[in-house]
Amino acid sequence: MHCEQRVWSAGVWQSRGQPSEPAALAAASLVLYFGAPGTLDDGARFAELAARYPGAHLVGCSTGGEILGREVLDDSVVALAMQFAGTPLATSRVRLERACGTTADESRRAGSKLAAALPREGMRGVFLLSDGTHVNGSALVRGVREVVGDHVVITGGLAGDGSDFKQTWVGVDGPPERGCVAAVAFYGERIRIGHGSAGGWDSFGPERRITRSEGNVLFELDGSPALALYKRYLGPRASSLPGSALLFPLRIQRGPGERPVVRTVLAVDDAAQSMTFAGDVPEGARAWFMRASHDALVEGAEAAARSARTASDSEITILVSCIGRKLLMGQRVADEIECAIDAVGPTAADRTIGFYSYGEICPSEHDGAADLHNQTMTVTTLDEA
Amino acid sequence: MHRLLQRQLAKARRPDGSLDPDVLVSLVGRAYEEHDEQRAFEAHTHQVMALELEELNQSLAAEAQARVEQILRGMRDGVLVCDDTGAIVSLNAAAADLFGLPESALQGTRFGDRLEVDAEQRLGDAAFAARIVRPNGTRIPVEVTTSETRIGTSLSRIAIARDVSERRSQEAALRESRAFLSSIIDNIPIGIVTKSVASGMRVVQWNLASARMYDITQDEAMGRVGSELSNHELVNVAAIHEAKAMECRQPVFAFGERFTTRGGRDLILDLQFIPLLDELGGVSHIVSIADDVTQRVNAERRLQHQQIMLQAAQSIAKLGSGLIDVRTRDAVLSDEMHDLLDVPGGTKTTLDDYLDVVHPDDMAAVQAALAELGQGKPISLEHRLRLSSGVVRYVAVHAIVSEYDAERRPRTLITTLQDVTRQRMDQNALLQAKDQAEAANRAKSAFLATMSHEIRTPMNGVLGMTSLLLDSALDPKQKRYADLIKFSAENLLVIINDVLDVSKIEAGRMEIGEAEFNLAELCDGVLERVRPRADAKGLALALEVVGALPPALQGDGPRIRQVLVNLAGNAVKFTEKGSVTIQVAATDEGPHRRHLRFAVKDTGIGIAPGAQERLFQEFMQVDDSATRRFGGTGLGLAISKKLVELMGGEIGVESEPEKGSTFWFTLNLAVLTARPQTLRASRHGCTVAPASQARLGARILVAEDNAVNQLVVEGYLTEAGHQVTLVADGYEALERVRQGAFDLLVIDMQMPVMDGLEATRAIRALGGVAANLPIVMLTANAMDSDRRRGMEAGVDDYLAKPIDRQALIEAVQRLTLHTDLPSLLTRPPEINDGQFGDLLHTLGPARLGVLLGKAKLSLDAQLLEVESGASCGDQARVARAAHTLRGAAGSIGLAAASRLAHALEDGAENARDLVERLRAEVHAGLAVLEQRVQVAS
Repeated sequence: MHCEQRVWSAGVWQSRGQPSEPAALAAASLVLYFGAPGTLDDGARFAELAARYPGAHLVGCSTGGEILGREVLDDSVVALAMQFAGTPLATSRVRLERACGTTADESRRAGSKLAAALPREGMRGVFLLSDGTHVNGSALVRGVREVVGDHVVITGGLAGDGSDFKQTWVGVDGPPERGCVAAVAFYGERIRIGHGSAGGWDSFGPERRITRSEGNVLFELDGSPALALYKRYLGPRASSLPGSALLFPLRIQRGPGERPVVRTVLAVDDAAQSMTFAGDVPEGARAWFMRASHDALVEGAEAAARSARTASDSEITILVSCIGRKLLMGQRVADEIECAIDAVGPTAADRTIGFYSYGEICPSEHDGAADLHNQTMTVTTLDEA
Repeated sequence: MHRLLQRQLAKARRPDGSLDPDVLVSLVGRAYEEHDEQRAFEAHTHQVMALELEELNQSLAAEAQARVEQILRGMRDGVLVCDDTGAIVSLNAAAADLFGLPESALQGTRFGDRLEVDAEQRLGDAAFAARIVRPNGTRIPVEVTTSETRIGTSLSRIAIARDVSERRSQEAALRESRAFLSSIIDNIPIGIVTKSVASGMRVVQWNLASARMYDITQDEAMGRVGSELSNHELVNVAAIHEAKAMECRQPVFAFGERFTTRGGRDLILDLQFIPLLDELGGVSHIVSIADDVTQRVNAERRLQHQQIMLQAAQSIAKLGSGLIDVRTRDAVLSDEMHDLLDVPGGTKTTLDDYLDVVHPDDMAAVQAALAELGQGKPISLEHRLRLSSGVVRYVAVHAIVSEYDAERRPRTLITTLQDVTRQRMDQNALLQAKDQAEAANRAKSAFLATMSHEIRTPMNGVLGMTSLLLDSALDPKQKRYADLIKFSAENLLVIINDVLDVSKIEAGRMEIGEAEFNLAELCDGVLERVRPRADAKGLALALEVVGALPPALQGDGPRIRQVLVNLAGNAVKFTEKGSVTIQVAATDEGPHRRHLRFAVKDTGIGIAPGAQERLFQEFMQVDDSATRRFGGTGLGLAISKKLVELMGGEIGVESEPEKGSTFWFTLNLAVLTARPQTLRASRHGCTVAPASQARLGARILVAEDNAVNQLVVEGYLTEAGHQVTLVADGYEALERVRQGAFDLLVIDMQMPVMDGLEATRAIRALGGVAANLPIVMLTANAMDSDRRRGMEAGVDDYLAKPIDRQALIEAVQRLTLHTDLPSLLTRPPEINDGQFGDLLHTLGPARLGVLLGKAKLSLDAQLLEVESGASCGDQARVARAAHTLRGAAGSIGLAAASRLAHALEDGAENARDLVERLRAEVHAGLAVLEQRVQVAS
């Protein structure tokens, strides 16, 4: 598959890897782009990309860190243009009903609406990008899944805002906006879509129970304010909440025998002593704090990539990794990127793009149904037969 | 090279490829910082986690402790922890309660010191029974379990003490209940024997009733098998049934088994053999229950016999019986009852079914009887049934209420029903025969009565003419013949009268009158009647009175006189020498009645006791020879007896042969007024005024159609010195009276043209002086009803034919003469002299004398009327008579009498006193006036 990697940094666009044919570039059908906070606000970067790839659908969002090839970048915009030979595409976009505090029901309706705007015939996969701070990701994915069905592969992620958790931007075939959800759907027999997702986190400390919550807002664990507990564990890092809360994601099990999920914090409210998570934190569920070591995270990323690879040499690799992993690993975060790329294939770096997100979307290993994940490395591969 | 370092080197290169050392140093330094921060953060995390886990641990421990304490608090068992020396370290509240001491007082003391360990138990055992001794001395039975725990190096002993007093008391109650049950089993009058299967059917229970029933004691029976106890056949029977019960595992019954006890009593037993099952379902015991039904069976047999007898008796007597439920009306009937009602046996029958076959003509009577029964009265009646087959039966029904409900309303009735059709038919035939006989007898009596009546009219002629003949100038021979005729005629008349009386009695036509009469006068009359014959036989004749005789009695005077004459006549007849005494004794029976006893004593031949009974029967004399010897019909005493009985009295005789007889009778009569009266005839006096006192030359009109009777009456009256005018019928009499100038009318009741009654009524209706003419009626009808009709018509006296000369003369005298002056008047009568003077001047002494005579009659009549009215409280009658009296008295100048009459007319309260005073005033006044008239002439 023909593709081109571009990076905008310090005010200049540059190409990476082998430059493509100009004619082929003009015929690019899809461009994914991810930009650091502040780089997408004015729509200039979008306009520049739209001018370079006039026939393509342009889909992108803001991030907690950009990935292009083997590199993890900050303060940049990265883009990957793809030319599909025999795969029809369609895009859709919805605005959230409210700018903030979207309920689970509203998020689910948004997902349904988004999917309903896409043709259903021959649909094989959907790549989702969503506002990262005001949406209930689990509900959103459920809404999409209910419309398209479980046979369609749904992957994607929630946009990021560095480690600030304030505002995120999402755009499809237009300048990126706040409070927006975008989707691009892949159709036809030729498209091959691979996916994999893994965390590498371990639970620690005593088992806790969610004693008070509303949707994705957590108030109390074991009858005490959850925020106070987090602050106690964060110690000096409590001052950098809500980002620092990513160091202690929450593992949640609704009932005995059910699939545990990992949830990360999106926002905190000191006045209400509450914490908003990227997905549901139902009352009565069991919960554990989680932590991870550097090596475990890297091994997780490698495992996700192995699961996603399609055994061809021309596949596109999209990496969506959690901002929490980047916070934990610091400069060594690139280790997980390198391991993931190496797991996909020797030349994969030239066709790889990704970002650090506020939530990852991927079919679950447990039952194959797409869901929101936190603190994972999620890998999607695209190729045409 | 380390990847990180490679990336750092790559990042530190300038665009020209040279290395920027400052950037590299910064990157490396930053990497170390990141590493240190990471380490520090991990350490912090571990610390926080350790702290949290410890907190958690503590809270769990505290929770566990609290839970243990809660359990210990909630436990009803006492829990104590002791150290290795046995001292109490801690205890729960239940333990403190058991010991009856606060926890603080028990801590540190030795557990064992406060226990009394039961015998054969040891304090150190893992479980033992003991009693806790409380400070107040009470003891609580407990079961203690102990265990040892080693915590570290120290050994603790934990004791759990359970209060078993309730269980002990339950056990005691259970023992008591078992004893109670056993006592019931022993005392129940049913033989209960239990045999154990495991021991080969040996007796394990033998209650007292069994001991009594079989004459085998409990001691003898326990532990034995049946064959060891008796060789009676019953043992085999029992064994067979026991085996059957064991096999089918169900109770087995045997009824009416006969058994002779060791003591020789014959019993009849109902037996049950009940298998008892153990936990595995096998038969462990057989309980045999024996019910002594000897008495019941014998009673049932007796009952059966009685039933058979009853049934047979009912069948023989054609007597059915039934039991009726009043509420449902259902009837249970005996077999015979079914036969009687023509209903098949076993048919469901109700009272209504019975009523359906009651003969319609008898339904009202049956319903009335049922109503009485409904009020609890026993009933007996005979009625007819008309059965569905059309057969009519006479039945005698008797019924009683046999059972009442709580409100005393009849619940069940018992009734008997006997077929009396046969008897009823026989009875009907008898009744018919009797009716026929009685009818024949009545015809005979009527014939006799008619004949007697017909005979009396000619007898009147015979007697009358004979009397007149004897008064004429006859030679001695003629006189003797005439006397014989008279004697024979009188005897014949007596016989005829007797026959007439008997006929009347038999025909039921004898009537007893109710009129005022004077007993003293009556007795005098009787004496006079029998005196001639007594004198002829030289017998003394006397009247003795005991007690005061009332002046006026109500009753049938003539009949009393007839009885008394009969008895006195008999006494004279059967007494040859000595005396005949009539005794009259009067005793009070309350203020208005008198009991009278009449006795006639003679010194005659007497009567043998055996003959006395027959005396009062018809046609009986003591013997037939007496009839021949003494004459008479023999009817006298029978008639007397009937008459006395008809008047409500008794009659009898006391007699000894050759010593005389006393014939007596009693009567109970009403007294008319309380007026005392001396008995004028208590000596040999006579109520009849002496002839010298009789008013001579009264003008008497005689109305009589029969020529013979005209001659007789005219003869008697002319002989007595009266002037007689004869007419032949009532109409002629009325015309003559209307013309006036008569002092008295003698009139026959039955005459052509106008009879005596009609003529009397017409005369009374004339008004004026003529209306007050005294009238004497003659009749051949000796019936009281005639007398009553005469009195109602207005006659003053009444005489039966044949006419008794004496009676006629008396009546004339009474009605035309004044009687004695009454004694009531204490002052001279008040006369209106002016009025009387005018009368005397106008009429002259002679005519005024006649007028006074008539006025006296009228006044007497009205006085009687006033008196009668007052005695019966009839004020209208009093007023009417008093009004007449007032006018009559006033017109001849009797002023005071007129005033008194006026007062009575106005309804004065003391009517009776006023009547007495009025009578006195009238009589005294009249006497004065007559005197004046005599003086004037």
